[in-house]
Amino acid sequence: MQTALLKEQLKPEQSNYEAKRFRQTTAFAYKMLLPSLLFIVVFIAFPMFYSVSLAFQGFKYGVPTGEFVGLQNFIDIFTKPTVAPGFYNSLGLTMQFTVAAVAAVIVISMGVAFLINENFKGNSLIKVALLLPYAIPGIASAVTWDWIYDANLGVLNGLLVKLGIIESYLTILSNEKFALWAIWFAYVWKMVPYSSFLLSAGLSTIPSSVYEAARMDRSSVARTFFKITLPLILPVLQLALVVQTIFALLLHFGLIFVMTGGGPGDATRTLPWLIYQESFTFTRFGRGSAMAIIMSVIMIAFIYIYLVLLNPERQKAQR
Amino acid sequence: MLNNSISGRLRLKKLVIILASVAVLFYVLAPIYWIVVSSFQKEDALNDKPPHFFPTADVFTLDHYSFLFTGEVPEGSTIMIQAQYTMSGTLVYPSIINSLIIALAVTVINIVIGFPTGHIFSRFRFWGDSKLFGVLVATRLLPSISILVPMFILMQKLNLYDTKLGLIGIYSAITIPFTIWILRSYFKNLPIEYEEAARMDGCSYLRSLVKVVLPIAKPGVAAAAIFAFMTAYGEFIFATVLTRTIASRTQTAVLASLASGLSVSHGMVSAASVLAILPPVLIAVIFRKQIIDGLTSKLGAS
Repeated sequence: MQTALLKEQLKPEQSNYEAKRFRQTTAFAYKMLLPSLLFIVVFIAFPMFYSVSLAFQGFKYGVPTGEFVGLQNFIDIFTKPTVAPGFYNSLGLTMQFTVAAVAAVIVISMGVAFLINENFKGNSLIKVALLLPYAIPGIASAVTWDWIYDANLGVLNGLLVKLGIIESYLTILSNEKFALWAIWFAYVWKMVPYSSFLLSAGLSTIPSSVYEAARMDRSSVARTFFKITLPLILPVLQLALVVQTIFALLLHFGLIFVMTGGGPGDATRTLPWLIYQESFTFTRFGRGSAMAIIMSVIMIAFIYIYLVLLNPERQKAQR
Repeated sequence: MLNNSISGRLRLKKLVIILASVAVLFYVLAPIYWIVVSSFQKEDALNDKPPHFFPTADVFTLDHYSFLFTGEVPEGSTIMIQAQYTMSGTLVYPSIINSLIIALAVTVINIVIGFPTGHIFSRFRFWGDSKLFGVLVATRLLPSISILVPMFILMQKLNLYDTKLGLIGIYSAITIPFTIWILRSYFKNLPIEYEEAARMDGCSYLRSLVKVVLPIAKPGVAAAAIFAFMTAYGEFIFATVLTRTIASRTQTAVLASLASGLSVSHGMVSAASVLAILPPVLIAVIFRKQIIDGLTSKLGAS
């Protein structure tokens, strides 16, 4: 598109010279981009194509046979629950987790964003405190929450008993009812700060005069939020949703690794964990790759929904 | 009457702010408080029911930390815990060093390579520029688990399995697109005149980058570097699959296997977590301005 624009602007007598310069710039730019592109081709593009090719290959004893089997791996996953057990369960868990995690992160972050955008003493303290969960590596936070949730010695159980909410210690992570939601809570804790800062950036672009006008009109708090705030921060909200969905689909993996290992039963065996098991526990690389591709498609579908549903005029907003 | 309602409203707002602040601080800090406090408690105090919410001096100990650094098993440990201590506990400190080396290397690569690339994308129009940029940014949408299997095979073929170098390569590839993204939008808000003047004076492109662009772009570069560091330091999936020995095992991989072990010294695991948390938290606190600017300005949002 930019090339077209460039051509349009050129006068005929200049175009030869300009075209030559454009070619020179292109050559120079690619020379400078070479190192970056090299990293990405070797470590992302190549493995990605390889992964796609694995998904269409047959396997024997964990070794690709090189034989093209078409969509067989995909058909197995979707239609043969005995050959690929638990796929629909994992799919359902992943959807539940992703929707619940994104919703919780966005709602809490919105509240926190309003708070840190207020001018008050202690505001910077809260900002620094918020940086901590963001900075703590995922696994260290998983270990922390694992210890907090501990069924015998955990502080959460201790606290709930002390407050009189429960009578005796509960199993949390080895309880089918709680396990996924315990992971969800720990996950949300880690992810709220990032979105809070992002959304607070969006909120700070709204001029205060807009709110004053709303107050003059005696607009209720809820009405002001839905009719004024939300539309104005839509682009940022969209970005937050996209980023959080990508994170939620994937980044709970470490929590599951440390806290439940997919259990109890298959109560926390979400798609990333299933892919990991298929590939590295059962060395069914073909099926693992096929599932990974399905997961990418889900991710793209989510993003597409946000982009289309939330902002039909997104082209206008971007420019 | 009107005045009253306004001051009432202000008072209400103040109250809401205070309550919300307390809630946020508790929410954010309570888990961190607990892991830090646990790391300084004697093992038998950690086994008490109910737990010591506010531990006193008589249960305080530095044993867990001294073990992580010296390998000295605290007296009175059970045999199971002793075994766990000596098997995986001694790996904690070296693995943190591994993670730091890897993360620093990735940060340097991001600055050296990502900085010129971001600049090229912000200042030059060339064939395929916007499409290429779109593809680069889109790589961030790729779930890393989808390239895990081929990466495992590739690393073994390249003899990079279980090496720091392999992880450095992968993490660089993951972080560079984000660095380019941040820096491109950052450069767009910088005046172009200085660079043009430098080029007029016959300064080469790379020289003008280092001498002219870098000094004014420092905040943006710092933010990009910090994000790259954080990502590389905390990455888990590739680290746990692509490393095996302490030659390359990172803190995330060691902590994860430590915590999912059968018998666990909660004090030692807590101390290990606190140690692992320390470098990125220090960076976050020291560079809080750059990070918050990076997260709240158009940098992260555009």
